[in-house]
Amino acid sequence: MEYVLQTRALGKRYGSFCALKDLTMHVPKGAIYGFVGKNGAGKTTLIRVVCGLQKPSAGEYTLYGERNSSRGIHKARRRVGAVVETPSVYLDMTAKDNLKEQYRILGLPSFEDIPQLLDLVGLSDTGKKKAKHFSLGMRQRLGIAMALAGDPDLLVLDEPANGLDPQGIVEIRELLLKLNRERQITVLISSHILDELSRLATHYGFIDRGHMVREISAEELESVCRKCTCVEVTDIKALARVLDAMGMEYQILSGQTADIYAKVPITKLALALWEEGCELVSIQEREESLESYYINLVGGGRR
Amino acid sequence: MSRLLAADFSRLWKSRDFWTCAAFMASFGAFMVLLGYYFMCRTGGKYSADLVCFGYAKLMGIAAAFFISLFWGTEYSDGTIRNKLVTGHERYKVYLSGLVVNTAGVMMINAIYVAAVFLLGVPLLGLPGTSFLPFAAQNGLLTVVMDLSFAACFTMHSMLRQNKASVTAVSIIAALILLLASGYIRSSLHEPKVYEPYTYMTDKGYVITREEEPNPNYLEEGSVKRRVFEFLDELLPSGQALKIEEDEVTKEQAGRLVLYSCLVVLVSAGGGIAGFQRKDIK
Repeated sequence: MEYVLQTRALGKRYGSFCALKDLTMHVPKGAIYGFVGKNGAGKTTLIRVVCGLQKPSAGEYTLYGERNSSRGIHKARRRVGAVVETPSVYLDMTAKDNLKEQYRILGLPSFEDIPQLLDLVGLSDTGKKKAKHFSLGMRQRLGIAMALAGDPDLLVLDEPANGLDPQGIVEIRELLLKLNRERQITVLISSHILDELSRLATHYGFIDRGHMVREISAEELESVCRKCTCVEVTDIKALARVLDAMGMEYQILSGQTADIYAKVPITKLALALWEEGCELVSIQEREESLESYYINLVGGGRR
Repeated sequence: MSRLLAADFSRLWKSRDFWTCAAFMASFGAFMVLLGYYFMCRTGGKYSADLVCFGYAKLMGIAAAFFISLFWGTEYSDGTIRNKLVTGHERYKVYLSGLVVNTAGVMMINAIYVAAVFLLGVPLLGLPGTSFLPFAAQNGLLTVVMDLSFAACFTMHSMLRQNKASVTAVSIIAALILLLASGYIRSSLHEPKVYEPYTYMTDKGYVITREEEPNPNYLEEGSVKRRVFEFLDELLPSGQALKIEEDEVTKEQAGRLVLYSCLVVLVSAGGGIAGFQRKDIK
């Protein structure tokens, strides 16, 4: 798999406080990588480090194959657009002037794409209104437009849903999906709105106290979180034969338990197992959401 | 770096902080001319625009502190410095671009004062004399290096601290302290060696004559304190400003002032870049 961003044992200290510890992550090309963690878990610190705003205290990262210590890292960064924490916009300028400024920073020769970009984020009718008079959601959109200037290959967004109304959240989600599908932009997005993230992400990284707890693809997560019936029997081979005969999808977990991913006709299953000389010991329905998966992973209590 | 310069100059042109400073200095220039015109009318003496042409120098430290801390502080307060770093601009280039634009801004503010003086001064006070040109050329050059050293100092401060309000307050206070320190240094250096003898009459009609007395505040020629004061007077941009304004720079001194300004610029820009390279940006 090709990765646009990889970190290896990354660490960041502020004095005696350790914000990132031994963090290893892999962002595949073309993915929407949801970066999940509590407040203070280290999400923003990681984003600051990979965006070059802060230097790591330990470990390293590679961006498009360029190590953070190499000279080529600056060139690799030109492929990145980011909104870190708050949108980085000049409050005394209009949306258009802000984008012109960003175009100059990027060295883009023409401003002709600006109207399309403003249209894309829904700010085409802001006219001469200065950014300081924008709502938080409008600033967030402008920040995303600034990050999209120059057609980046990697978009890094830190809590992009902050300050957006429900309609705005849906629009930003649609925009990110569109960018990912149509322009193959890889997106690294940090959020603690798990429901929203679960509608977007193709990959997840769960971070807790500066450490990566688990990286998992959306497919893997879906299979883990699928609604299923957990069955305990005395003969797992007999169960497999019965389920195969009934055409049900299942996964054997141990010598006595299996998960069945279908609605189970209990009486029919019990009779079929009895005929195979197998006893049904217990049966229970199980469903896990991204939220409960995350809580189970990092622990529910505040530390 | 050309991309950064293009972006920073474009922002300078639109900056309200820059135009506020420029308007203040233009008003100050106009005020100086009107003051000269008033004295000319009252006393009937001769007064020309060149006499107030370098009147900006004393205020340039404060103007530079105000302008740079607000102009560059916006990069931190609005978070836009991140846009430059995230898109791969090297930190030293971001710093140098800021230094160039800040210096250009300070020089333009300067130039706007001079323009206001001449635009209003020539019609009211008349053209400057022929002796003005060589002296203007020397002071012009000294002004450029003085602006550069002020800009380098305040750019360093603005780049290394992320709180716009505190940067602005500290910069302006620092500019005032520098000005006061240079004023004190200059007055100490100009202390007479002795108090001249003088005679006065008391209320009761006695005539008292005071003999020549040594001045205890006089700094002895060649003493360490005098040398240190002379060095600081020429090194500090505020001291240079006072010299320019009072037009008392000799040709030998001019070379030294340029050299000292270059030293201030190198030390503050070098230190600023080194600090900025290591700085954690929020």
